[in-house]
Amino acid sequence: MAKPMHKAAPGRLFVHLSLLGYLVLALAPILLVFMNSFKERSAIFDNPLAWPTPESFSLVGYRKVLARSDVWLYFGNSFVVTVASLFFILLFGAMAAWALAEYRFKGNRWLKLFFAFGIMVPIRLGTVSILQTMVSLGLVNTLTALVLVYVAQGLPLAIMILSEFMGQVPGELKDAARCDGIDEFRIFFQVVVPLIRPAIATVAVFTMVPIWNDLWFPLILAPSEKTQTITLGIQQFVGQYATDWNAVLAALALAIVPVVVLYALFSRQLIRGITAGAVK
Amino acid sequence: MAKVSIQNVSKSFGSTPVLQDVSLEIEHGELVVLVGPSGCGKSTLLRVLCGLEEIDSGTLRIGDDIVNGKPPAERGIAMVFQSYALYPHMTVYRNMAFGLKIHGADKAEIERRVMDAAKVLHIDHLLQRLPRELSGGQRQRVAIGRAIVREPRLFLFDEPLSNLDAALRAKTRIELARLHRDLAATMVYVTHDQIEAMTLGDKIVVLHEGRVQQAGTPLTLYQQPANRFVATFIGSPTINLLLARVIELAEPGVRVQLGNGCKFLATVDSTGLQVGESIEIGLRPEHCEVLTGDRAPGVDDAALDAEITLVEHLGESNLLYLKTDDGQELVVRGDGNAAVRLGDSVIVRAAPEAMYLFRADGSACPRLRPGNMRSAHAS
Repeated sequence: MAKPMHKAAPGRLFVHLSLLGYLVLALAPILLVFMNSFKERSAIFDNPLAWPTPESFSLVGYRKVLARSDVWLYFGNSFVVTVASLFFILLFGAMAAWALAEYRFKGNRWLKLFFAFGIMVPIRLGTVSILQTMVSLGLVNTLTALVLVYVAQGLPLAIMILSEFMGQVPGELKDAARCDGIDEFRIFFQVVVPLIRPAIATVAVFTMVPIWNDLWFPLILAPSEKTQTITLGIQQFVGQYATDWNAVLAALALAIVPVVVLYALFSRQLIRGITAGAVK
Repeated sequence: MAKVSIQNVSKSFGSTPVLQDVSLEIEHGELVVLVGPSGCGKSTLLRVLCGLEEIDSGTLRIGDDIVNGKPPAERGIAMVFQSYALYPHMTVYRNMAFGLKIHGADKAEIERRVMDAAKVLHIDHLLQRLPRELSGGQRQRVAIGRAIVREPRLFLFDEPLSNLDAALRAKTRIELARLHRDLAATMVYVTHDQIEAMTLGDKIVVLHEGRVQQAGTPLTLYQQPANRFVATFIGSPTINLLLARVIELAEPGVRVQLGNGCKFLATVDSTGLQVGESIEIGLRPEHCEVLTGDRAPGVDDAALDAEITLVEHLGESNLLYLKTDDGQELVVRGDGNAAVRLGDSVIVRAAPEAMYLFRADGSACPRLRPGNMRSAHAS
């Protein structure tokens, strides 16, 4: 046992080194934002890579950001849009995935392909026609417009991943439920969905982050004072001639927090082996 | 509890027929075992009864109701699956109560039924556990309990013991037999294990290629198989089949000759047989007598010379794999204490009453006095 482990060691070392490198690469900008958000303006420019010291420490950025009442509105908007989009993506995605995985009907394969197509075509290509549609529906500058677009954007991947997992739910389990006289909706909500909770959590994490971070559609579909999301709202601190870096960095640091909390909530669900004991 | 009647049921998956004109009557309180090789349609027949598969033609009756096209819930059935199919995220109690709760049964009534079933199955101390915390045997009991609480008219079992180890299987088999007696329930049981079939079944139905080959009591199937397939399927080790030719229609019985000149008398109904016809002799391993040493003078032709090619020691008996001098192979069950060695020459004898005879089309000639070596000696 020990020998092959030793043999594999150089390979493993390389893997770990590359992963560590990637980790540094991914975390450095976030760390930079956090570090500098706690510093004075002059300290940010003197040495952006230095940790805040007692002399340079300052909460001026946070004070500025939190003093503005509209920042809370932006946070609220982002939160509403993200949670509402997630809810509909997971609900409709899981239902469509169940239909595609469980029922044999004409056009099943074509429908699956159609949804897969949605992953390949970036939704931003359709921005102009989306904007036209929203204008004619009178939905410009509403959060509804954003939710609709994000649901459309998130559904294909959700359906793809979830139908894969639905297919793995043992058929006998569903048959047993049918013998118990449980209707299809209850089988879906009370037997199948609890079993694929890890998959649903995965999809939630994957779809949540791009929605929270998106700048494109809020800028185009809902740029009004009342409907700005946090990513858009932060741009107000970036001026054409002068940028309030303290405020920008503090706002960015704050914007990360909710998404990390949501991630922590979902990742608790990422427990494998929940189906153990179902069959055999 | 109810009578079940299956009439001319056919079912195909695409262009593959799985059930072909299957008809079967199941009496009230009877335990019917469906057996057959994989792909014979036994599981499909069970799923058809359950309502998980639609039938293409025919009539299904449970009790007085025609249940064609009715969903499982309206048929008054309960099924126990091979993989148990317990809801993994629910406790044992909730697993058993789930179906009842959905149908809006009274809470006290649910509790009473679950407790009763749990007591019968000795799982009352496990009610708050999750399925993954149970052993295979315990899961199996929960699955059976889930069926019992529904108080169905018909129980369906799909190879319920095949995931258990040998010792537990034997134990659970006996418990199932007891349960059947206590509940006096109509049950249909699918298995490929013939010991389960023989010991549990009031009636065994042998299926092959989607057709019922024979339905009857375990002993009928053993003693009077309708055809060669049933004969080879029932009995372990498998019945020996030797090619032969009819040389005389004796009264009663038929005299046949093997390729090597051995002549046997078989006490079977000779109706329809003709002298010179090619037939197959069936000889069960447990019905043969094995004599070691040289052929004694005075022993008639009705004995085969053979050589031992393999010996399996089972303790109470030996399985001897033999090759006759004309190259046919057979297995016989011999005395476990006899000293036998590979390469030994032996003589195999069998009583006329022990013989089975199959025509070229596979159908069996009815045996006149089914018996084995011992009963032949006694008479």
